[in-house]
Amino acid sequence: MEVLVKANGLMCLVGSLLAGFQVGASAADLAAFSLEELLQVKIVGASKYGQKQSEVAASASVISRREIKAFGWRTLAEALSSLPGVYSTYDRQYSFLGTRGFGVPGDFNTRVLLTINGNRVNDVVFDAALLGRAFPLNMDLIERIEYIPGPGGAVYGQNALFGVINVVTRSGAEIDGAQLAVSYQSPQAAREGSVTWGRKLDNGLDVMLSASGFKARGEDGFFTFGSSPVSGVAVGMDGERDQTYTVQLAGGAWRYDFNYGNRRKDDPTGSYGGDPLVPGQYQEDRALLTQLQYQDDYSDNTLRFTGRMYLGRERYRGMFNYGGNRSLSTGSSDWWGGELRLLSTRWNNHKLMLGLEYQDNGRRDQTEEDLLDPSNNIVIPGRGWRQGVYVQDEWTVSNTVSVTAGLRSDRSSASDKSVSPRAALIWQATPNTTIKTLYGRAYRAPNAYERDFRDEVSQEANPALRSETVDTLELAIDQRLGKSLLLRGSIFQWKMKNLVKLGETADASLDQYQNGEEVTAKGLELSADKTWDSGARLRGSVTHQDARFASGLRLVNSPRWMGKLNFSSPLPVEGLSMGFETQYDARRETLIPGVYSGGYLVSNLHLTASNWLKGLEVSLGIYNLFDRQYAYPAAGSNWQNSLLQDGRQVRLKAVYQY
Amino acid sequence: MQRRIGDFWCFWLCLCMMAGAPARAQPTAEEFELKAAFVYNFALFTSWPKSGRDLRLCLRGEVPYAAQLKSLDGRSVNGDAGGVLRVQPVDDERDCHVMVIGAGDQVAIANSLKRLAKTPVLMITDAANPSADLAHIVLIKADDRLTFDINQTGAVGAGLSFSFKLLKLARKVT
Repeated sequence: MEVLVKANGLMCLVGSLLAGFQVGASAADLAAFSLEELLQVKIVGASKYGQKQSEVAASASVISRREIKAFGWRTLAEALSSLPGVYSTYDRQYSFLGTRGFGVPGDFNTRVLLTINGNRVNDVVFDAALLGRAFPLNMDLIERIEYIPGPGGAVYGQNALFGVINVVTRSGAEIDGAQLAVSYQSPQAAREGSVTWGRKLDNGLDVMLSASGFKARGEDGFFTFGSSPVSGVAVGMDGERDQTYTVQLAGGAWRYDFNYGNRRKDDPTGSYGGDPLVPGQYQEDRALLTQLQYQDDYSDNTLRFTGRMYLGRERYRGMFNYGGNRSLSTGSSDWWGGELRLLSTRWNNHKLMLGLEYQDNGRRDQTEEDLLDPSNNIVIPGRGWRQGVYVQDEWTVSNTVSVTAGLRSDRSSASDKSVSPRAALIWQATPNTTIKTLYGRAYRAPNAYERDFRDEVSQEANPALRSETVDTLELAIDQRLGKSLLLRGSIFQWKMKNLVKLGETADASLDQYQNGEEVTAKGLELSADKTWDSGARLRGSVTHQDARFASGLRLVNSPRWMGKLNFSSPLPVEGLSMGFETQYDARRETLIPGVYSGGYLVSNLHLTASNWLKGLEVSLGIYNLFDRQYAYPAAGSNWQNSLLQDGRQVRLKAVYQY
Repeated sequence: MQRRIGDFWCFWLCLCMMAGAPARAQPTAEEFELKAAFVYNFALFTSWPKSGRDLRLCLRGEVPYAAQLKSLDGRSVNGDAGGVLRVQPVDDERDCHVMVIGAGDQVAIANSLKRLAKTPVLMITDAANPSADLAHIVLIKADDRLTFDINQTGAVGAGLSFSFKLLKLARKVT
């Protein structure tokens, strides 16, 4: 009897939750009402949450879906590289992002926090932000990319040293139907296909489902291997395959996200000292990210409560050949956690935010396995936890001045208490001029790989590693000229203490991550954004940056000058539009002092034809349009000092919507 | 102990049934459905200098209630002539009769609207939209209900005219 009542209660609970979505009349029903009647209808229910409201900071840059389609960006790294001061590096395995002059090769993007709809992507062994094809979300599902440069530590905590990247996905209601996409790219023989379905159901539930697959043969490139006498063409060793799956449900105050990605990239470079030109070496990442979020407004819309619970899993596998023996490196991350956030506008002119986060890193294991002789296996298990509490207030002092102050305190099983403060002042000097100053501090505890990994052959652990801290000061001026031109100038300076970098043990026999000397960087960014009546838009930026160690030595992989130009416009032919971008990077220091990878100018052209056939969009992308030869500095873990990038690539893509 | 658990679940069951009960007397609707219905009515009570049969409704920028507007496609708008509302992507904005403006590139949108100032296109948007000052009808949320303001000067300049009924029910006419 008791069981029956319980079951009834549970079913009823679920039923009423679902029934809760059935509110009021449809647009078609309401259209039959008279105007007088419509004026009397009371608004209730799900639509309040229809538009995702993210508290995007004033200094954030937003890359919209329209731009992603106009320029045909294939990965997050390509899209973000269009922003002032941001540059990317690719080592034929992963894509890395450099921001504000900092882009140490091979650093796993640990100093940038990546989130999908607010859910952290960085794993717990490497703290890596997967910004290339390993990112577990199809680019076609992105509604916008929010990029907040500078320290985000006061709100986001760990890893937000140089920026926070939040990827917001499209809703089922916006997709409203099914979408089929296929593409082919030459000369890599890369084929990609995806299927997406999304809709807002009659009961108010918003559903989005998507699956995508990618397979490429890659290119046969010529490689040398540093001190090794071997060199030659790596045939069939640049292949890549990738799958992503996404499930999204939203209804009323609830939201559920699920993202899974599985990507494997073959390695022609023999990274981590793998045997040169031996096939079968690869690196694979499987990532599973899921979260459940509840967001609702209380007290007459003056209090917004957000609660979320999340779970993540990442499995890294690296297959290497050492002296003829196959060796497998693995990194396994399991984490789950919860975050509570309160946003109150109860006090006039104040927007107060209070948050609490706890994350349990249930598994943080690393292994190094000798496939020929398992008695040589090394297993480094780990686990831990992190917790943070933060508070921030945005105070509108007057019509033209607002002040933001925030503080976050973090504790973890692996590092001491860290405090990250932030303060910003925004002054609208004239209706067309806004001046912003920002100060912030962020920190990063060393990841499990830097602190605990040892294989007795090449690398030693360093449990005494301290956290890195970065203090940033920034001044920016936005000037609007007329209604179609926006100019922005900003200068910044940051100082990093306790930089974690790869050094050597005292007897120089093994590599070891160590805290290094202080790094200081200064930079200046100028950018302009102009639009025309026809719908054309031109964005351009020039950045000068200078990042050095305390000793005066310049930072590796930090171009002193960067210039970017992005132009998109509809064309005189019906339904046809184009996007053209060009990027100039000055030369970058490599790990060998005095040796540089040359400066270069790379351009991409993208043409889109919409609706030549109903529901069909066809695009042609020509990347590295002028077939320029250029290289990026490689990491200490590479044989090579620099790695040549791809020549001209052509991609044909078709998206069909019905 | 058993009895107390039974009581608890009974209470929960009753609460559930009450929560699930539909609202009666007061008509209620979701915001987006309501906005779409208002837009449809605005179209019914506006006259164009030369409208032809069907009324074409375009969306500019990201309109959150786009799906709801699309559900009104095919609805009758001109009883005698048998015309219907067509909610479809349109290539040239000057071909639209009604334009609903959403969020997006403010600078680009404001430019388009200014170009259309003398063209008979009925421009409708929300009060929160940055281009609200350029629109002819602005939807406003007040006390959990919707109402609207009309910019008659702008509309007349564009060649549009409103039925007296519409002007009477507006919150503010300028």
